[in-house]
Amino acid sequence: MSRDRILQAVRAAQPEALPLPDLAPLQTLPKTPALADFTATLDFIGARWRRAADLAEVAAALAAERPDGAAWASTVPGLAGSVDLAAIADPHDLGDLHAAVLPGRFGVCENGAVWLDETALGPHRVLPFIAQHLVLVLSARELVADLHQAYARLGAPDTGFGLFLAGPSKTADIEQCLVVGAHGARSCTVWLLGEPA
Amino acid sequence: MVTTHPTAAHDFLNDPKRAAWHDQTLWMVRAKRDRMAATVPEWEQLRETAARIKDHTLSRLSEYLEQFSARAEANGIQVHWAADAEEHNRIVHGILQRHGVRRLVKSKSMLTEECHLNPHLEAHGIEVVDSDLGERIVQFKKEPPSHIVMPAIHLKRAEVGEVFHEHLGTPAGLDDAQALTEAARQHLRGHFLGADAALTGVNFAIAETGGFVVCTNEGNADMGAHLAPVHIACMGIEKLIPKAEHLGVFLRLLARSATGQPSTVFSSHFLKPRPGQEMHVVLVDNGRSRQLGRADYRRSLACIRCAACFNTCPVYRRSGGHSYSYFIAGPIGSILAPNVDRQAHADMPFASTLCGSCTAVCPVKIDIHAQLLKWRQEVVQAGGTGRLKPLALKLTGFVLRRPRLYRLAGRLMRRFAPLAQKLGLDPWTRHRDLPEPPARSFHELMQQQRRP
Repeated sequence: MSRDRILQAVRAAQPEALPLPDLAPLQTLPKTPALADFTATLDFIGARWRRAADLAEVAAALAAERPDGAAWASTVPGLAGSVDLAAIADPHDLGDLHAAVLPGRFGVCENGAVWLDETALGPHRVLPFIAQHLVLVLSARELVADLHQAYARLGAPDTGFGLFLAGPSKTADIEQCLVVGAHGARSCTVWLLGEPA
Repeated sequence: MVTTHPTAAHDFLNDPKRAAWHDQTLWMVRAKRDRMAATVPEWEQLRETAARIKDHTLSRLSEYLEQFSARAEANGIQVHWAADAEEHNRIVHGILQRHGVRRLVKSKSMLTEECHLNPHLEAHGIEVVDSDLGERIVQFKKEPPSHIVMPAIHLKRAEVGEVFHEHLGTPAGLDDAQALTEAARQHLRGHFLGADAALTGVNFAIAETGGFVVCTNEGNADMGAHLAPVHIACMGIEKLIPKAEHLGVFLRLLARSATGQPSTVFSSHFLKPRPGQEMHVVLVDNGRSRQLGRADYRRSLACIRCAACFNTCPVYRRSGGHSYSYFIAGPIGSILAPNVDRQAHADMPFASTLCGSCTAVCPVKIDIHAQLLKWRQEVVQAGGTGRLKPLALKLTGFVLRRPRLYRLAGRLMRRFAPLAQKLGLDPWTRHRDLPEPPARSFHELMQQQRRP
């Protein structure tokens, strides 16, 4: 069996055990998350951001800006989309989705990433990738300064899938020219609700 | 006789404008990396920590592999083990065959490039579509990637336009990056929606959870993996890290080092297949356990494939990825390739100035330039540099041991070296001029000084 052969070869080749470094010095750096840092990073990575007092304000803005007849899905509690995700059995049927509105768990100030996992994605993991436009709704209080704080907060991820999403999809594979809208969303708007902590 | 790096670089250097563009563009990426690193005050602490996590993991790799595979299986992932490239290809093909897969959509995986998976599958009648934009471009052109992060960096916009005109029917002469990318988006969307299976690489596999992380900017790995009924993730056994919290260290380093971004757009954490989906992980050795046993070269397995060493390397920037005999070019490729086949890639460790810039930017602190030097010594000892070079060094040694002969040689060189350059006898001066030789040697100047 290759499994045993590989493990045996690795066991024979690996050196004496070296210690695992302690992450505490990195995890305990005195850093405080700040809304201004988060929004500055969002600007830098090409994501849009807006602030709202509550969900009703977001709903009103989305309703006003949505093109007529555009299909959109939402997994944000209290904000219904035009598409019933639970009624869709095959994720391929989401191919024409104009926008997806998703609840972010928290944002990371240093890189503009927002954590989303299956509790936020609903029944279809492909949702944040297949939609033409992405709207993330996040409480302005839910911020961490860096990824060390982010993983401390997450612990070991326990849903089947989760991701840090930082802005719209992009590529610079043609002559290093930055183009927004590669295979995933063409735009990413982060709504920050309420006042920061 | 293998093709040497200077010979292979000849074509690239025939177009000085393009060579200069390549050099400047990669230097711009390096500068972006520097600016990003400077925004993180604890950058050096991060590099040091990352290096030590990797060293620890490699020292207990067998245990972490067992832990990872047990957890992954408990999560419903099917784990496969491949001792070499051939077995890897057989396993992947076997999975695809069981599902009657005709169309496979792939995201970036240097490992499948290493194993030559695409031709293997195509020979069995499976259509393979590389979905990373740069990879799709070079796939159309039937070329290998010239850079592991920016696969089509050797091509100009207009050339991409020609390729797309031929394969995607875009208007002739189209050279707008936005329009070309849009055409690729539409074309590949069709493939994502039509694929029977998806294959991705793996950036990090976590022993503690049995999950793995895939990073992209385009979203192509996720578009494939979450639509297709079968997801196969292929990884070298060195991709393991012990715990999820270690991702904090590596994800902070990866995108900043690679492209000067604070994060890739998508850092996707796969833990379990979605309901009704099959998820496979293929763990591949293919020479890695051998490299692990070579103390001098072991740390090359810590590489996280950011390509910062490519972007900073004065030789890579000025010669292009296709000048190297291995599909991973640049400094890291030049220490990985001789492990695979020392004879075939004997020239790669010499495609370096040993300036050490690669080592200085490496986010996991691999001593790349020191390993290049060690490989050179091995290659020379094995007679891999031909007869001329050792002979020249012997002659130099002979002269240096004899002061009178040395002074005579110096006089002759001052006289005739410019002539040798004019006659094109010295390959070193093909692309550069010798400085004007001084009229007198240092020795003569000293003697003059001593005179009262």
